[in-house]
Amino acid sequence: MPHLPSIPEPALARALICAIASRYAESGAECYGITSERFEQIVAAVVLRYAADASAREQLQLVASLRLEELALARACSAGNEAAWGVFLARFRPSLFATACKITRDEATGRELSDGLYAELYGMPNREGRRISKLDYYMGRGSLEGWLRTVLAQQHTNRCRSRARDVSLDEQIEAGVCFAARSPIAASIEDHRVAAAIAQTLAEVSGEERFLLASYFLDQRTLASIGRQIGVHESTICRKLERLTDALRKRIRKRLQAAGISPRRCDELLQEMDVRDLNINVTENLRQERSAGTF
Amino acid sequence: MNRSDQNPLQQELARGYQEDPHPDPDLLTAFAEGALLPRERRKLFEHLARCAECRELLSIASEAAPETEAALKPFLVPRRALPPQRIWLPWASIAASLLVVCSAALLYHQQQSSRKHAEVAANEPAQLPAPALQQPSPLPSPELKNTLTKPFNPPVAKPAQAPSASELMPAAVAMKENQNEAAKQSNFGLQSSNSFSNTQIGQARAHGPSMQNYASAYAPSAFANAAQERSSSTASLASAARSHWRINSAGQPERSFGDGAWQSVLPQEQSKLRVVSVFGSEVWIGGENARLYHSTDNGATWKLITLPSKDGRSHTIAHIHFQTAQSGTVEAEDGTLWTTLDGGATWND
Repeated sequence: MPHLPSIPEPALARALICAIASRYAESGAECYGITSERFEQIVAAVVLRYAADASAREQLQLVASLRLEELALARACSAGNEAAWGVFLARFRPSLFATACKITRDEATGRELSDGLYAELYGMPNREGRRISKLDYYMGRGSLEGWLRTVLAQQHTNRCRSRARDVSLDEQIEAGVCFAARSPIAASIEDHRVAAAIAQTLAEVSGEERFLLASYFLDQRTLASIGRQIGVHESTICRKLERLTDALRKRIRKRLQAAGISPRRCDELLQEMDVRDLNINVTENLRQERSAGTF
Repeated sequence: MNRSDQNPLQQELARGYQEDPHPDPDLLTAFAEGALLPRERRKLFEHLARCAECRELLSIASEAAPETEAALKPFLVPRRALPPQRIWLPWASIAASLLVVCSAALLYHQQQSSRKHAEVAANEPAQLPAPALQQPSPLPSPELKNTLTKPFNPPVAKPAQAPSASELMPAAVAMKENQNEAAKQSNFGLQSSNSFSNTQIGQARAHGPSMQNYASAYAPSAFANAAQERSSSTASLASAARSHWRINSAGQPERSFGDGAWQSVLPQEQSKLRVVSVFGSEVWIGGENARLYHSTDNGATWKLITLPSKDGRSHTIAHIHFQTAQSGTVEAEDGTLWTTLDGGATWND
């Protein structure tokens, strides 16, 4: 069991303590033998982890948004409570297997994945012989089912990446894998001022807009897929992307004119980059940003 | 691993990780479920925009979510409380739309019924079935003769009470007779005899409802039903009595009541007339030699108007336009204009 910090009175206002205490009954923690003091410690740990430097109002919002029932269940399971494990197995074991099969698209691999996660959830003994459950890392920010799904997806991608590294480039070439050549369109842009204008314009967009651009143009995700990720309808994504690309074109045109390019030449350049070309340039810029930030 | 042993690229990548660590599965799940605080959501968007790995993870997890949950998620978000003016606005717009549709339907129905009434009323005197006219009448024949010989007095003071048959019969008969005889007569309209007959026509038209009631009282049941339907709107009856005007090829004005028979209204006029203008019951006819005739009773009586002329030239009236019954303009071919503001009593050129 990880060490849980005590509640520092100055950090957490009295209203926050009252809010945590008021949710003790609805969490059902008492059924799993979790006392109110222990419950307060668990919730305080979540607040300190995610909103230690936030305002009291934000901390109250955080406490109100927590899935405390599932958090109490997870903590009880990690503590070895049999009743809690019974509830967990009844509620999440079938969905765990189904989700694993959906992610791996193969029943055998899905079972292997779900069993591996189940073992980690139950707890693996550490060097001191103490059992460490992966459920300790669940903080109740989202649903427990969603968290299990994300953990499964994470383990699946890690497994795929680790196996992909085992295959050498020569083996891939022998297997007939074709590697796409770099698009010549970016190099064919005559005026470097166009690339600079695009880069400057992309640097101005917000995180959400950049996420939409990256998901749609760089990752080639569908509108429905992006909509599912952020919980909005695909038509909303479509409208946002249309507005965004229009605004980008206008800003790029403005920058080109400011850089001394005549309006007629601007029109020609933007016509040459019309829709598809502009998207490719956006993709190029986003790809550069991505390679700098991650592996 | 000691960071100083790493190459510059790895150090740069490691520094990027330290500045922007990957979000844990809890945050990604809360992000997908819309449970993050606004500040956290903005920060996570910034990270996702630059992290293809986390975007991929988020995508795989969201694709694996049950369809029903993913589809219903946007609709399960509690709606924001609307301000008061936006609560009643949709209902008000729906009510306004319904009102417009109902008004349009009512207007269309009225137009259709008035058109039917106009057609039936125009053909009514000639198309009244003979058995209907020959049915036993409650009116004694001597009384009918008396009413035919004496002038018609409309029951204006009793609009709510249905007029009796003795009051209604002369109007219908006089209208039919005068329509047939008017074409043969060569009176000018200012003469007393013709004036009388034309006045009767006007009175008969003006009391159209009486004719309708008469028809419904004496016609067979089917015709009576149609007559009852027609009697619902007095406006439609006014349009049913509408007269039509034209100038024939000889330059003579003619009038028709919709039955196809045209009668000359100014047969003694030698000058060629050119133009007719009708405003309600006011009729204006103009032509060569500055001839301008005016009738205030839909052509029953006529008055010759003398237009003032400075140069003594003979004008040919080409246009007559009245905005109201009192104010109007008369224009000659040479551009000379006369205007009146008192229904033609005085003219300014």
